Amino acid sequence: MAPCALTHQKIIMKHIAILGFAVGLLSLTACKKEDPQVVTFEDVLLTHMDEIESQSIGDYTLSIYSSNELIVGYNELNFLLKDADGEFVTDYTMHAHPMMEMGMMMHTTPHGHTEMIEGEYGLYMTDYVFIMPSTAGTWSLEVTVEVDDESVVYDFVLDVIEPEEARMISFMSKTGSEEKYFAALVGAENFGVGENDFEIAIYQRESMMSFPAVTDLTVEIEPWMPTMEHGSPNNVNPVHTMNGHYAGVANFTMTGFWQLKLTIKNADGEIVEEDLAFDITL
Amino acid sequence: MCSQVFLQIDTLEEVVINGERADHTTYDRGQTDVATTEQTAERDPQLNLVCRGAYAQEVIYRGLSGAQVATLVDGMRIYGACTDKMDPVTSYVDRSNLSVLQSDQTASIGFHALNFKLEKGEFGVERRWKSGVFSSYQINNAQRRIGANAVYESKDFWWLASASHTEANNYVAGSGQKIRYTQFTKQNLYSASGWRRGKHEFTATGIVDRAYDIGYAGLPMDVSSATAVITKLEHKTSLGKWKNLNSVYFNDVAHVMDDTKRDSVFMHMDMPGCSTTLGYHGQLQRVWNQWILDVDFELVRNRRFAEMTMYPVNEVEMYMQTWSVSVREMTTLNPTLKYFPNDRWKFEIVPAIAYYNDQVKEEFGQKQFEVLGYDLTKGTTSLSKSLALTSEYNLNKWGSAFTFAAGDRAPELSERFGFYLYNNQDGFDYMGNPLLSNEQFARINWSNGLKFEKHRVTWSKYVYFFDNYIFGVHNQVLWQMTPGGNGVKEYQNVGSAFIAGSELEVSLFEQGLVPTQITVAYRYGEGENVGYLPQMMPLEVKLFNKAKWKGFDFGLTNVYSLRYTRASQAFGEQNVPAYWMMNAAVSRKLTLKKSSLDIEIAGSNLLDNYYTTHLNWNGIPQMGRNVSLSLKWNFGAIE
Repeated sequence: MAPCALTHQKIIMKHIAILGFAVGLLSLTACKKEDPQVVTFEDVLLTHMDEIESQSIGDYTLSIYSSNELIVGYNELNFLLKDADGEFVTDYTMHAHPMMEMGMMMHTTPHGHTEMIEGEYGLYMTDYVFIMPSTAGTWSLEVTVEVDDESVVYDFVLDVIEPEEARMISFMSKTGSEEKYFAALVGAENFGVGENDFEIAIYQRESMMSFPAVTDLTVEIEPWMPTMEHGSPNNVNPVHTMNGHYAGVANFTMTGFWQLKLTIKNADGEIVEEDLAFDITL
Repeated sequence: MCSQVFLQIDTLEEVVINGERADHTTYDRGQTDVATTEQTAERDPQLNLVCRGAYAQEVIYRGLSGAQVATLVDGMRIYGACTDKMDPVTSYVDRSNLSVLQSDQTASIGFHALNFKLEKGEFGVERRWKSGVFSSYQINNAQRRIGANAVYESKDFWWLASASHTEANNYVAGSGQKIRYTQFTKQNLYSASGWRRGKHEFTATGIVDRAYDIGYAGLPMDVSSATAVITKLEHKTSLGKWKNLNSVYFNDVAHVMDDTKRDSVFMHMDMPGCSTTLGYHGQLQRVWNQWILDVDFELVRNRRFAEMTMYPVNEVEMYMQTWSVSVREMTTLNPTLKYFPNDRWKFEIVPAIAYYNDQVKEEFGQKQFEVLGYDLTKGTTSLSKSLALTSEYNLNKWGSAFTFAAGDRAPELSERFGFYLYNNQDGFDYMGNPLLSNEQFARINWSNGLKFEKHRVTWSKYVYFFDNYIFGVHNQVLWQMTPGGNGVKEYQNVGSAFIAGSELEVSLFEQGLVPTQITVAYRYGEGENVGYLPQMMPLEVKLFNKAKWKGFDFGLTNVYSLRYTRASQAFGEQNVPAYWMMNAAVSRKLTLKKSSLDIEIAGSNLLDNYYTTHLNWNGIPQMGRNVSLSLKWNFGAIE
């Protein structure tokens, strides 16, 4: 029995500034002890994340970090750029474009905005909801970096796996329209017994090249233990925060096999989906 | 107790249990040698037994139970390790360990204290050895018991030890129906010793008790093992004119439930629990001419943990902590001042104060409660206080005692931090409530007595008033956890409640040919938002007769109970028909050259009536007709 998720990687991700502080603190202690080993920002980052890809073009090396393996579902990708001396580049902009190539057809995938989240080290973050695994084709990520008035284009191939329990579910609207939705759990890896921040990101397919966030839905959640036929108390239905993300509270009273049941209604109050359930094994 | 010329009306009552003593026991109120500790306690009309099976009956006082009554073993705090109350602490001692049950109205914790005192040796003038071997057999459930004891006493040292093994099969009820899951096996080892050096006296006591394969007919689960280790070191001395006692004790209880013997279970579960208590008890006593002052001080730390793992087929196991690591630290101060202005009057004043610090220490448990909206990362402290005033008046043949007491009690750890504790009687999962307030009480007790040369009558009337009465209230929002259960109840302060009752004890022809005792008892209880309070006995009459004839001792017990019509539905009780139960025993002591032999034949429920009591869980029937034979062979110096 692992007493619930104590390492809240998500929190670290969200408050990555703390990392910077930690670096400072660690180097400070290192100095005091006159320890020759200097703890770098990258070292701290690597205690929480893995480098999943890295490419060098010309003087610049772009590395991608993620705290998890890339899955069909919600992922946060972090980017760091280093120059020829191995120093972090901070004054650059980047633009990333994911694409699924399946032979005859190709499509992109829902994603958020690319944001600089730690200016001191030039750390960018973008969230992606991959809607299928790499076994269906090839996931590529084209990253264009503008640095020193030059434009460098990196082309990564990403390996996206299907998680044991689905973290993204797609469905057709039940209102009769032909809308296709994609709902992905955010931070489900941190779920444990107790009160949990629940977050879900919902997108719609407009075209193969456009999956905009849906911001005007009503989402109801019910954690359910099918084997025992009971739920849990004091859950808070998620409400829209920004960019198609809905945040609420999901409670789990014990470990075991749970289902997170969702009912989604559109702005008119019509039921878009009501049989949605994410399996959650705690 | 105080002066013997007084009538036995006191805030402290005693029931002699008499252990498995080498000396012969006469049939006081029909007590037989095969009776358990609990059955012996039940001779007191204030005490009743809650039965969940044939083993580990819970002794309750005037319908009060749980945290309302402090059950002590030789002054030690000890707490059961079962979240479902299957192991009242009396189940961790054997009759052979005990001497006397003290029933104390003016306890510092809860509203009453039951203290099961352990058998001790004495410092004698001469060196002497006593020993005995005992064995008994009961026909109904093939219960066999075997044991031995030994006592060594000398001027400055004594030592005693006893060991027993008891094993029983399922019993048969009055209908002839075998009641499954009423079997048990129990083993008990007890040793104590005392040294004396100048004005210092040291006593060490230790019990190892282990019961296993215990059936609980009234519950959906049994117990695979219930084990306790109970130890105490005591020092007595005098400090000037003060008598001083200091003791430190430690006890550890482990309880493992078992559903593997049941025909069908929804899902296999493991439910172990443990409870560890470390305590200090200090006492100072001083006697002046007309005054006695007793000051008791305690420091106690109890740690409990119980968990539940469920094993669904083809799925991951499910886990929760029904008592997450919960710790109660308790400090109590309890002085008793008695004043005897003259032969007629006696006054007693007992103020008491207790301070508690309760906390769930494990993060997992704190998280479980987070779901319910409680923050348990910090501890909860509470203070309980009480004051009892007693006056007693004795004049010639009659006496009267009046007690007024008021105070409160802090919620118990289960009431605060229990997490989905399934109660099979009402079918609800019980949730602790960390925000419970203390339960307040006020009590008036009035006893009158009349004593003649051969006859004696005592009549007690009492009433308890409660406020913030703690009771489980159906919470419609929470999901039940137990499959097939009725829902979830949360402990709450429900409002006011009261209990009123009366006990009449008549003793006739003492020292005569056929001494007879009659006890009549009745209680009534009602509460705001509760209805009838649970565990309030209907009118019950007990008749005890004994006789001596040519070296034979005869005992006869008749119990008549009216039907129980005030079942607390909120507690899951059932109404119960009236019943009549008859027990009888005959015994004889044979004196041999260097030893003596006690032989007893006893019969219980001789009419083979099929009956249940209001306190039997889910109406499980009591044992039908039973006949037992017991033998005790005593060696060594006998008085």
